[in-house]
Amino acid sequence: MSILLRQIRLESNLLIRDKRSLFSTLVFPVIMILIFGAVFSGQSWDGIPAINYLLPGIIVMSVMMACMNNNAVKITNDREKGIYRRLSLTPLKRQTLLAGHVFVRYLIMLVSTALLIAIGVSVFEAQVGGNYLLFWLVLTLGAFVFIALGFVLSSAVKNSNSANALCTAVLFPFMFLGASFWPLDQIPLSLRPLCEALPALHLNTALRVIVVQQASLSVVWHEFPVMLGWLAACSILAVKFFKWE
Amino acid sequence: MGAAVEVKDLTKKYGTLVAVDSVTFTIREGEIFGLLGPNGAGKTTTIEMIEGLRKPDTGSIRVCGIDVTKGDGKVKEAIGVQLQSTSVYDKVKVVEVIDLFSGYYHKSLRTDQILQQMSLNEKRNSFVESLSGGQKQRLALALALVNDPKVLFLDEPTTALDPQARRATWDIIEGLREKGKTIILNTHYMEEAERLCDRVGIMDHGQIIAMDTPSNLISKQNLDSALEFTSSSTTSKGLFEGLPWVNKMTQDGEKFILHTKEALPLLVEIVRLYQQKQLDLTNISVRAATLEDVFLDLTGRSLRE
Repeated sequence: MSILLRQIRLESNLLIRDKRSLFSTLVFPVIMILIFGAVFSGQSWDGIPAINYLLPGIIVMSVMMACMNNNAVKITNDREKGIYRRLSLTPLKRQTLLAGHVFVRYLIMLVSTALLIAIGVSVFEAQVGGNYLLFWLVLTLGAFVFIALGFVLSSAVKNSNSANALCTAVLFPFMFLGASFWPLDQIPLSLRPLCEALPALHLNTALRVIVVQQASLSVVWHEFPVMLGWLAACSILAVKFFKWE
Repeated sequence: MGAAVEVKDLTKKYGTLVAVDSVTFTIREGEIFGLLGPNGAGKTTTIEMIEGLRKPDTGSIRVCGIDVTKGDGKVKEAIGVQLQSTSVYDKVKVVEVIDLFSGYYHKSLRTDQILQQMSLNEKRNSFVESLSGGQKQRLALALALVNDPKVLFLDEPTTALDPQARRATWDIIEGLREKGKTIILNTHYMEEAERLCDRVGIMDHGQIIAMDTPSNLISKQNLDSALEFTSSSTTSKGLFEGLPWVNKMTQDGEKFILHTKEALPLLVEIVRLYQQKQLDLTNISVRAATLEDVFLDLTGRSLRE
């Protein structure tokens, strides 16, 4: 088996065996969809059932938790324990190590998304029309934005507790200002420019527009510039500031 | 026997602080070499540079003929490093982590063989987090040996082990030397350095201030026997230092150590002085000089600081 595949198997095992991270990346989003779905069932926003707004919103929350929070917490934990240092004394290449780590975060994000869609559809009759390929593409773009952001945040702190706190401090504003749980028009006009500057709002909008309006790329691409900008900026910062020790 | 490690004019600066100051030495194939030094001596930085973890400012390092300063990572196939035992994932099984590390190298030993050698077979399916301190140290050593390296770096290999486990580890380390491996040891335990090391290098302030076999170092410094006692009298210092049999005196607070080649006449004289001048003198003992004495003599600090 190639070294990368072994790394992926290792990282998967580590994730599954860590009950706390498994809860936050899989169970918690499910609890959220169940609660929000139940609370707002029967309601409509702009003539569309609320669940169709909420499902993408909670998917974006789970993308952030898997790609940003879980990512940064694991990196700081491994770094703090001297694991990266130990591994740097072996022939294992850093790219391979990171590739395995990133791939498993992406994978758990996909699993979480599939789980949320399954529950949204079966329990709350969410409509998930639209182009699945486009949905997956946009989801992937969003995932990489938050993976890069996760790397940046991991270099700003010393240990995994601080990483968790910092990521949570980023997660909540992103969710609220990104209109994950309520439509954008509920947010005061004065805050809108801030919302528009954040990647979460654009990811939410893009996914919603695909699911609700069956939008094509020619519509969706309007949400890309901000996300791509964040991806570029975070990638540059991550490469510059990432700490192995 | 050739040279396993050749270090020449090795220098590392952090701003104005010279951590490693143009250090040159050679470690012979098949020897156990101890690098001793107080905190801040530059010992850790030197070892990290030899391992390839840190880049030197100037100087050259060759390990088994491989140029480490090139930074191409070739040296990693030839060395094994035992770091502090917590540097592994908590939730992996012992057998999984050994297999994992084996997979990183071109050439590796069979996992079963390593488990047997390190007496970890019963724990093969246990998570690393459930291992005792001693078992974790053995695992750390196992991981350093997966690629059957020619040169091994051991960092405090018996810290926090009970005496029985410590002796068992020493046996393993000596067994590795029998197999022709070169071992570079970093330790604060004088007993360990004396028992295991063929040669010892003492570092202080970024330089190697002494390098030889433990017994040569002891005799070179004229330390031979050590007569120790505790005294709070301020008159004591001048009184003892001047005695004819005393080669050297070191003082650590209220503890006096008089080094001599003639312990008995000196002891007799000390007793006479004690009775004659009613000196405040307690805890008197005579022993052979150790590396600790050499260390104290050369650096003014004790090994354990």
